[in-house]
Order: sequence, then C-alpha cells, then structure tokens
Amino acid sequence: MKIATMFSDVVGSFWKKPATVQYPFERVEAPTRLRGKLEWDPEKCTGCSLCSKDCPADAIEIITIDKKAKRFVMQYHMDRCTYCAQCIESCRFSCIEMSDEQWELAATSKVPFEVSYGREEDLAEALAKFALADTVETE
Amino acid sequence: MLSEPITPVEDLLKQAEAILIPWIPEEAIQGLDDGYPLMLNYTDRRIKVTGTGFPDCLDVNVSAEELLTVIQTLLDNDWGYLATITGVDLGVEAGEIEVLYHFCHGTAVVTLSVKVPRENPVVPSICGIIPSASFYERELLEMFGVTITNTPNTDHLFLPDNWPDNTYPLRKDFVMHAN
Amino acid sequence: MMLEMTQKEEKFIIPIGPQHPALKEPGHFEFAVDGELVTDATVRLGYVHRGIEKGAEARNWNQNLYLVERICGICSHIHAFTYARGVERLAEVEVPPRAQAIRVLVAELERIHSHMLWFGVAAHEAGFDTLFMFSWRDRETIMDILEGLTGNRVNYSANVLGGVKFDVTDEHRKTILEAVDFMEKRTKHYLNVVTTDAMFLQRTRGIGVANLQQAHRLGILGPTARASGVKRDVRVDAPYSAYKQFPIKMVVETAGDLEARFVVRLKELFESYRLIREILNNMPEGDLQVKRFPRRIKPGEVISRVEAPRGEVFYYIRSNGGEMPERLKVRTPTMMNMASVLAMAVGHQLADMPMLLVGIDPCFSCNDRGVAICNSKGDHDQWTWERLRQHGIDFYAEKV
Ligand code: SF4
Ligand code: SF4
Repeated sequence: MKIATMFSDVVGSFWKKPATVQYPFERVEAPTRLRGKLEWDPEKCTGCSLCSKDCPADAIEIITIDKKAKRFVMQYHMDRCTYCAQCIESCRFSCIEMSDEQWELAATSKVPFEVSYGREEDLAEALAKFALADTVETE
Repeated sequence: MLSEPITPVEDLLKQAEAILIPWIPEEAIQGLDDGYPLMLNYTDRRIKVTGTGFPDCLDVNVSAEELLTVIQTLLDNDWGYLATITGVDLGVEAGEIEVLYHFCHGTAVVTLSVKVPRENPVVPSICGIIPSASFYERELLEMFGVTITNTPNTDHLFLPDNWPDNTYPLRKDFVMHAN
Repeated sequence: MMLEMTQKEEKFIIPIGPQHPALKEPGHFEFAVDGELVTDATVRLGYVHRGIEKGAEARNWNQNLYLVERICGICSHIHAFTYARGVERLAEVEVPPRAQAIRVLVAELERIHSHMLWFGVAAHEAGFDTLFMFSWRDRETIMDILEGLTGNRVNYSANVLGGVKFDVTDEHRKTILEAVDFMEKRTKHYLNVVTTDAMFLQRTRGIGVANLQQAHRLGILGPTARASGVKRDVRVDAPYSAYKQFPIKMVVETAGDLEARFVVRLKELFESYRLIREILNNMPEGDLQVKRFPRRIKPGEVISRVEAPRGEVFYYIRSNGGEMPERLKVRTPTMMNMASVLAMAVGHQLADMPMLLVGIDPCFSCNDRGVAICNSKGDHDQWTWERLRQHGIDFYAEKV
C-alpha cells in the first residue's frame, strides 16, 4: 500500500495550461459533422412527407402549395427538434442538411424557433393562406 | 482470462428441449431430428428461427399451474438464468394477457409463456424459487394488473403512490393523452 | 417533501432520496439502522418513469430508434443498438459488415466514457476529488472523439434501421488511435492508484462483498457480477454483431468487494482499447446501410440482448405487421443491480452506503439529495446527500 499516489499528477499540472476553455471568450471549433440547425432545399423536394413522418419529435411540417408544380414549404419547429438526423436519412432526394455552424441556438423568446423554409413566392402564398384560414376560423 | 469455449446454440437448445420435453406438444417434437422446423406462426410459437436463419429461441406454452414445476425443472438442470418477465396484453378481443418468462443461457433463450384471462389474470409468484424476480413481479402487477399469488411485495415500484386503482398503463385499452 | 417516519423495533429508518444523483433514476431508499449498522434496506423507484414502453406503441419503427436512445444519457448508443438489432432480425435484414463494425466501435468508445465517468464519481463519493478531476479530464478525450465521429456528445444517433449514418475516415482513425494510446497509459496509472492507494483501499477493500452464490441468487449483472466471479458477458456468451468477428475476452475477478468492481471495470477498458485498435486496423469494406428498410415489419417477436457498460440490456420486441411495434419491453441492468445493493447493504456501516450505491454504477443525474435522520422521539433533522458523503469521509478519516 502506498499513499498519495496521485501526487505526481497534481504537481505536473502546475506547469500545464488548464484543460477547460473560457467560453464564450474562447471557442473550440465545432467538428464538421456536428448536427446543428436544419437547412432545407425546396428545389429538390417532391413533397413525399417522409421526413415529417419519421421525425421522432414532430418538428417538421411540409405544407403543399401546389403539388403538380412541386411547390412546398417546410415549417421547421426548431424548439422541438432533437437533432437526430433521421429526416436526412428518410429523405430520398437529399433536400435536408444540418449546419455545423449554427449550434448556439439559445434564445430568450420562442419566435426564432419557428423557421419557415421555401421559395419566396411560396412562403408568401403559404402565409396568405394561413392568414385566411385564421380569419375564417375566428369568425 | 479466457472463458470456456462457447457451447453451440443448437446444443443448448437440445438440452433445453430434453428438459422441457414433458411440456412440449407432440406436433412440435415431430421432425425435430432433422434440424429445427421453421415455426414462426405468431399464435402457435414453438422453436423459432430468427432473422439470421438461426434458431436460438425455444418457446413453450405452459399453464399457470405448471409454471412453478417447469421453472424448478429448468433450474434443477442448471439451465440459464431468468432475464426478465414480460407482460403482453393481447387485446380486448383476444381477452388474454400473456406473461413471458425469459431464461437465457449463452446464445439460447427459452421463453415460457403463460396465458391468463384478461378479466381475472392470476399467476403464481416465482420468488420462492428465484428471489430476484420480485422487482419484475411488482412491475407486472402495476403495469398489467396481473395478480401474483404469494409475491412478497405488492407495492408500487415505478408508478406513483397516488396512481388510480385498477388502471393499468400497459394494457391496450389504456389510452395515453397525446401532448 | 413529506417524509414518512417509520420505526421498526426500536430501530431508526433513514430515508434517502428521492433526489439522489447516484442513480439513473432518482430513487428513494430507506435504511433501517441499529447505531451505525444497516439492518434493512428498501427502495422505491419510478420518479423518472417516462412511460417509454407505452410510448413506443404509438410511434413508428424509425421514431422509436430515437425514443429508446433517450432511455439513458450515458449508454444511449447501446439502447439504439439493441433496438436496431432486434428490429433488423425481425425484418430479416442483414446489416453490412462495415456498419456492424462501426456500431461496435461506437459501443466500445461509449463503454470507455461510461466507465471513466463512473470511476470519477466513485472517487468523488470516496472523497478522492483529485482522482475525480483527473479521470474526468481524460474522459473528455473520448467525448471529443465521439462528437467528431458522430456529431453529438451524448445522443450519438449513430444508427439507422439497417446500418449506420456515418463512416470512419482515415483522419478519424488516426485521432482515435492516438486517444486510445493516451487512455491506455492513463488507465494503467489509475489501476495502480485503486489497487495501491492506502486511503482508497480503506473505502473499497473487503466492503460490499457479494460472493459467487449471492451474485447468482441476486441476479447481479455486468461488471458488478463479474467482480464476484460470475462468468456472464453477452459479448462473450452470445456474440452479436461485429463481436463475432472481433471477439472480446471476459474480465472476471473473484473477490466480490468494491475493489474488485473497480479492477474489473478498469481491466475491461484495456480489452476495449485492444478491440478498438483491432477494428480500426481491420475495418471491413462495404456499404454503411441497406438500400431499403421496410416500413412495415411482418408479424413476429424477437429478443435482443446486448452488453451495456452496466450489464445486459434485454429487449423484447413484438410486431403485428404494422408500422409500429405492438410491444417493446426493455430491461436495463440497473434494475437487477439495484436489488443487489439492498441485499448487500445489510450489515454495513451507514458510512459505506454512498460507496455501495456507486459500486453498481448507477447513473448520476441530479445534484443534491435530501436525507433525513429520524430518531425514536420522532424529531428528525434533514441530511443532504453531501452530508452523508461527508459523514462517510469523516468516519474513515477518524479511523486513520
Ligand atoms: S433532426 Fe430529427 S428531430 Fe430534428 S427535424 Fe430531423 S428528424 Fe426531426
Ligand atoms: S422527405 Fe425530402 S422530398 Fe420528402 S417531403 Fe421531406 S424534404 Fe421533401
């Protein structure tokens, strides 16, 4: 039996810089595979909705504007997303990607967590439709 | 430290069969000599060939009365250990709850299946033979409402103390409130 | 929190918990004591029961992969692995060998980080904070690798039904091999510390002994069982996935005390290091996933068993031919090991309780737990877990 078996570790550490990083003043670069915020490409989407069916957190809604013309809008509920990347696997047309830069996603309100993706004119139309639906409902 | 060579799963299952033969019905035994028959019928399960085309499970239906004898026979012959007890609600229509006792030995798994009526499910406690089964029995009791005769402890294990009586969450007619 | 004050034959009952960081689930323990000696122990679980088994019946096969991954925050991959393996067998899909190797690689990396985490916490409970800090610093090497390899530190999400999501590149191979060399050096050092340090041995040697018979009777699993001489390891007994190709040796000790549990876990790490090197140097070529995985799975049932860092994980999955499972049963190793703690507690000093509890490697989650000491007059004073831990440390400090 011995005593103070960790002594050399402790003494050795005096000459080393700390193992911790002074975040947020100092940042460690995120690995390229990091699973951050989703990015969606409306050009390739066929509206099959598999991504939204397989999402374990119900974070994706695919809204159809015009099925024939392949016009869709994706409503992404970032606050529900668990960043599991199943949607990427489920999409057969590689419309979805995950960003390795956008991962500091904390916010003080819920607003930034409602993300809509799509072509500009489709988004405008979706918005108009929703506004319409809203008024119809409230009447 | 190398462990002993692994006993092939076929041998383990043959041993289990030999032990359990009094409880295996005739039809299932026929044809056993030339390998294992494929019997994946959902309702009439015997020896199963699983995904890899590899038989590693032996399922035996036993009655609640026979259960203790069968388990005692398995243990007397030193075959495996109790992995867990699973309850399965077969639904309101079938009117039965299936209680599965899984025994593992190497690669092989023997499952004893006891079917009890949904209205009055009763199985004997196996804690007298396997004391560590108490947790599993408590879980079975609170999740499925299966009465376990002579079990040493019937307190809630997972569910809260103020959980309503006669409400068993893993039964099929218990509906979860979404969101 | 309302504390129930019970009195059994002039003995005091000490309730501990439910807030209790030494366990995966917050658990409520009651120790009956006679002076310093524990004479009886009971447990109440379920404070974080999330109804996952029920929830799984309302989700499709893909969604469940992520639900089960969240059963445990430390062995997340193991649960997804067990589930995926079961569902793949049910669907009769053969996973490509490269995917199997990657799954096992991640599983072994996870084992390293899990054992190191446990090691640090156990050291902390023993009052050996230097060891705690250093082992956690070293564990960070593995966490960084897992993050770089899979994209997340905790829920790696490495599996899909029918394969894995990512490949291991040459660059990863290099960093992993370097890290494994470093960890091996450190583990040797730690093994030396736990087997020679006088202060530490005082808290571990000959404490919480479960002999072979007891271990069998209590149904203890995993490293805790192997420390009592039980030769049971699913990776060896029933090799699955890439363990068929890359066999592992079982580490068994016979003493059955806390020290043996430390030694088994640390020695297991060397096996993990060896296996990781072997996998990386002989990585099978081929695809990462099968082309198509069925959305509906034909009726049937399957049992899937995998060795998690804490012992055998047991899944029973039943399909009725639909898009969702009909029944998913999960048995985690801590459930059995918890029962063993209760039996082992009897006859030990109250001061040994923290070490006994961590000895089975339950998961650590919260920070402060309430302990109340009741005496026969009915007044009680609140103890925090910190105080019980300190009690343990002081108790032994006085003895020196
Ligand atoms: S990453 Fe996972 S949780 Fe997030 S949207 Fe995709 S499938 Fe849903
Ligand atoms: S899975 Fe892909 S193609 Fe289908 S709706 Fe989603 S994004 Fe579009």
